[in-house]
Amino acid sequence: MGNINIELRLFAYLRELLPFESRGLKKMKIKNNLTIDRLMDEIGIVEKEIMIVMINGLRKLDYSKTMNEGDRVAIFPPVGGG
Amino acid sequence: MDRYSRNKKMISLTEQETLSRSTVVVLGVGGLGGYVMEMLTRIGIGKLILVDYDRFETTNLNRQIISTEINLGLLKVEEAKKRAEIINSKIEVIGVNKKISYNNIDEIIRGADVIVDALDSSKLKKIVEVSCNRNKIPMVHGAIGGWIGQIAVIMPGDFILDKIYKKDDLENKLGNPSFTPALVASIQVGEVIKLILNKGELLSNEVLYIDLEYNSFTRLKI
Repeated sequence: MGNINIELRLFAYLRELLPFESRGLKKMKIKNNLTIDRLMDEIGIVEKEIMIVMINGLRKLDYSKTMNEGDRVAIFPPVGGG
Repeated sequence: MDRYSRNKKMISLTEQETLSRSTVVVLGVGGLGGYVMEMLTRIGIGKLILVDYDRFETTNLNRQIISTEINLGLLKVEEAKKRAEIINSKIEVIGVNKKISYNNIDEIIRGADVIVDALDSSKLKKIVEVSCNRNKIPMVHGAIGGWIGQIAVIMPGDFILDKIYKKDDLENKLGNPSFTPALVASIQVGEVIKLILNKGELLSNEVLYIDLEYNSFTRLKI
């Protein structure tokens, strides 16, 4: 079991989960068997089920999947106000 | 001078006539819908159908352009209609004072060229998406929360709201300031005009996600 490097980008209020200076961007080393679901747990995202998760520009709905070396992971909370 | 002379160069005379023969339904005339109504009225959409069931209250004053200290307590659709009529007497404005539901949405939108989603409930937005699909009418979705805005054009046959809103109703914990709805409404109106005039590139099958706090504009292929 090895490690892989990913780039994590958080939007809106999720940015607050990362240090202020990072502006929502973090390069991370993660275990290669870490799922999207567990990654969100590690970051501290509570409402995982409402989030829009994109990996390399493609929408991911199945959070049980793992990631690959160099993946760009972006997480967006949708809004619904009018 | 012609009231639409400043539309010229970007909108030809023929296109202006197309706009004046068009019908747009604006669902919700609060934060987003007030600005949408304002812009569609001024640009010269021939028939506007404004739909809301609510009355103005003090908490609307920070952002809803039609609300004033004078019309608190009055019906939003009636106030919106009054404003549209004093801006542009050349267009027809209909106010529908109803809360939309599965039962009445078809009759509200039938015959329209474009539907603008300026609703504040993801549950109602989904009802509209289904009805637009059934009636083969494009829908311009918009939503805001705090610094965040999102816009999408949903063509008949496309379903994207289930992919955006996986829960039935989203709690708005981000607030509603004045500038985010104005921005999102502007982009929605731009999409309405492009749809009607068959111009440019539409935000279809994607969502434009705007995070103004960090000036990020991201197009999501969801």
